[in-house]
Amino acid sequence: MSKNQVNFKGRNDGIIIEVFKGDFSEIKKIIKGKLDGNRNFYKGAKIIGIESDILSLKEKLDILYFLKYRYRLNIEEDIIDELLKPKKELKVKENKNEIITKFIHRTIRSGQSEEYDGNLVIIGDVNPGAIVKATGSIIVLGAFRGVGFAGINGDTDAIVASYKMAPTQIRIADKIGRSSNGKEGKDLNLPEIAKIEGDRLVIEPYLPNK
Amino acid sequence: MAEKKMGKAIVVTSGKGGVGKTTTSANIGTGLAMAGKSVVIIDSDIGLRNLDVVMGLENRIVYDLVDVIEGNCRLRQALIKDKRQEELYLLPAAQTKDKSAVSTEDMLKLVEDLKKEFEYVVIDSPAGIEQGFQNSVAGADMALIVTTPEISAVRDADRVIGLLESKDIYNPKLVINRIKQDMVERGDMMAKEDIMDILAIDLLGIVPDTEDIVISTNKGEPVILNEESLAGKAFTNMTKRILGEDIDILDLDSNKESKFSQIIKLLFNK
Repeated sequence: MSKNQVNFKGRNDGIIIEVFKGDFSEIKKIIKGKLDGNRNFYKGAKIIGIESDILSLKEKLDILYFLKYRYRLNIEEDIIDELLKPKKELKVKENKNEIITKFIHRTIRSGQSEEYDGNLVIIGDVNPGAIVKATGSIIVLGAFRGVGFAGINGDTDAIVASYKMAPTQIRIADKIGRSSNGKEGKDLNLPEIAKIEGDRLVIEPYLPNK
Repeated sequence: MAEKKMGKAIVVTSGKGGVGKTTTSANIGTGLAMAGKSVVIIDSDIGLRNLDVVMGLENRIVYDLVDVIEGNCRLRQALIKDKRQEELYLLPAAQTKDKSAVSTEDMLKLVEDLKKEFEYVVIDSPAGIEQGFQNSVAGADMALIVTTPEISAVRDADRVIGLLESKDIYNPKLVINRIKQDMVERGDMMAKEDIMDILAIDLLGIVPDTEDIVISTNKGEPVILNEESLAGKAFTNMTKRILGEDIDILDLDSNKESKFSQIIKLLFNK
């Protein structure tokens, strides 16, 4: 079962860790399991890369750090530098409205989470118990019933918008908001946008002729 | 010689405890056997076994699932034939061990072996999402998610559906248990539409909250055997739908006695 989630690919110059699927804590467990099970075999091994479509930069660095400091494996210096280098292509754009966007075509279920360095567009629902985080804005083409953090790096212009806004909690930059306890306005049947106005987080309906 | 068709393994799970997995497993298993299929129901809740009690077979247990896996007996020796149905067997859980006694690989092999002998293998899953749950879904071809119309149960069911997707078990079917029609009508209980809105999976059936389920559990006779019971009829309806019959879900409303006949009964029975 873990074979199709994490693979250690051996090459002449070292090992590449490939991560295909699974959630981050599961993946860490699998990697630790492989190393614990074969301490002698991996002693002195050199890790020359981590390849994965599903891991974020932070997650890759997390793995490299515990490989280096807890398991004392050799990590090819270049890969850490490469990962730490600020993404020049993104920073060039001064315009905050032109950052990269990830599209997710499914409902995010309870216990699942999505985090992205950019905007997130979810074609589906975000169910209660699910968490979505983005450095940019979050748009949900469906019902937003979970927890959303937009502008996690401090961008107060980020917004959270959805067709049916019934979140457990929304945070933009450092402001937190939650849906009111009563049922008033629940059946608005209008898309709503959460944004920061002044020093408060407000949620207002999207009215076409504003 | 014709290749024997492999049976189908159905896991009955929920996340939340106490929503009716064991009741559903016992009744669906019995229903499939009543329809002429060969069925084995596995209680995979090691340490907290209940399926045997619900089926009324608790004093016939000699060997259990852990005995089979540890090789203390042959599989056939641990299977208990049902009191009423010809082709229905139970593989009980162990009561004195706990869930770490069985690995996912063990369960997978066991389910594969049983699929060779039975047309349907119904796996009663324990509550939770840890080892017991992980084991119970090993080897499952299809999943039934049981929930009650309560927010906490629906949240847990949603989590489980997400976990099943990550194990490549898609298209689980939903069973909504313990519906109280009058509470739904008053707006005091989640309606099936509210639940489907969040879970977004196909609905297999709805079981009303009736006293006869409590009675039948205590007697060790699955309620599907009671022809008068609305809950029993709901399970029969679900069994037929599992077997592929293109019928609608039992309508709990039209099966309730009309208010008029209830009043007449009251007037004349006093």
